[in-house]
Amino acid sequence: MQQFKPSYIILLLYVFFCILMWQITWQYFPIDFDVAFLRIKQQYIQYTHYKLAFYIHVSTSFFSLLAGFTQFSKKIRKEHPRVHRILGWMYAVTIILFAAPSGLVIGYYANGGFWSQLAFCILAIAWFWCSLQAIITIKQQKYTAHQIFMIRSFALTLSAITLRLWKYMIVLVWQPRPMDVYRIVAWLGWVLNLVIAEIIIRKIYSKKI
Amino acid sequence: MKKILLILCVLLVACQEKQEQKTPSAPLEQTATIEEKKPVLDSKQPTPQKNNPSKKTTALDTLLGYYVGQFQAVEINHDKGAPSYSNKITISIDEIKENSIYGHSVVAGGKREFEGVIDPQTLFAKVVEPGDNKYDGIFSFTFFAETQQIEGTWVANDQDITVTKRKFTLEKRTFEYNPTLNLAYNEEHEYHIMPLFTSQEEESGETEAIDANLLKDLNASVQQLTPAAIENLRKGELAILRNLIYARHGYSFKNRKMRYFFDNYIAWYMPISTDVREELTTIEHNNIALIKRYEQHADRYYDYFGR
Repeated sequence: MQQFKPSYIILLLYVFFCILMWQITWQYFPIDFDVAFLRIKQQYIQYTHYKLAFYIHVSTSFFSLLAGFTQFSKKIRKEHPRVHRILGWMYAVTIILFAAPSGLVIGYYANGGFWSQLAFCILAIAWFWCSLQAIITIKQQKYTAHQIFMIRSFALTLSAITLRLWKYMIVLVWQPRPMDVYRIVAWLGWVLNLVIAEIIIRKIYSKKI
Repeated sequence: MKKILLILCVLLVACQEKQEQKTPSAPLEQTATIEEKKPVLDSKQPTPQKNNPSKKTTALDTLLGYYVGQFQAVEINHDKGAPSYSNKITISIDEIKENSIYGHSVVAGGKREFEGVIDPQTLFAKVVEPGDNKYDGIFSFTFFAETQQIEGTWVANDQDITVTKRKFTLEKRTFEYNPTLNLAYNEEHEYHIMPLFTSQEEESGETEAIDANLLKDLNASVQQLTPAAIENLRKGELAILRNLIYARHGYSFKNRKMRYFFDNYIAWYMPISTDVREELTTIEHNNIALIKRYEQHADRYYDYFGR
């Protein structure tokens, strides 16, 4: 009974969260500088570079999530390598050229002060670096290294979902102050993802050895 | 010739003597004018004597002013809805003419005029509200001049409303807008967390914690607040920070959550007006806009899957 495979449930959950992320993206269009998250960013929205970075980030980041549906499937990679390659390039270009650089800019203006700002800036740089290395290594046909960097890159992509999920759960249970929550999830949202990614990488390669 | 010269000399000396006599008399004249000025000053001060010829009503004029305290429910129809057990009320005695007394009350977001009679000997007054409002009634109270209080009861005209009788003991107070007034608690005896009810429906149930320690350092009537100062406040705290502006102007809250908080936890608060929009200063207007922004954001996004 294929329907009850754990991977199927994970897939369904992933679809659910991608829909939520799409709804978040959608609320910023048509462009209004005083909507949702921007309502408490009014002191920065006057800067052209902030406006530019914000809208680039909000309009492109979602598409990096779509690669999650295809790129980790062995079947697709073996039987439809062109699909893997095309979606892989779309993923990499979205992040390296648009989502990560813009993320670095708006991360500098993050809510919650210095520690939040640091967390988001490190995240943006790590995301950029891992995604770039993944492209470099595949061009050099270093498949193992490519896989390792892509696992890391995608772990960081998933932080979009995990950060918001942590925020929701922490608020539900402890009801802390808004910026206190923000400072916690700014780190929790991605550091744990990277740790899990490293564990997964070691598991895969210990098997191979 | 010698005689004429003599007379001239005598005249000269006499003139000199006269001049000497004039100078010492000048200060006497000045003191006379100073004494005269005193009664002039007195007549410039407004005295009750000018308005009321009889001495008795002059004494009663000291009773004019604001009296503030708790308006406590005594008889309640529980089946008619959730009662407000205790609201802060200001009774304003505006005019006393012989046996007639005129004034108005401000309570629970409403302002109602009243008029009636007062016994100048016993200082007992019975006044009636207009009667065209469902919540109108009759106040009966006594003035206690030594303690500057009024004490009495109120009975509703309509016996089918939720609270049909209330009692009160009010202290005489003057109202003066003071922008520095803020949340305060006695550090030795009181806890710094104050409860704000989350429901409009009743004075019970869920509450939100208001940290007076944080709010006592912020004053939306005096400081130009910044996002950094308020972004970590919870929604209830932001609401209190904003409503403190209105409370300083003596606004009577229609909002039951706010009313319960200000009536019971803020000693300096006294309701005297049902619309303070025209009294707000520029700093207050700016801060209201900023705080509202964060309140709305907290309302929509605090417990939401998103940032």
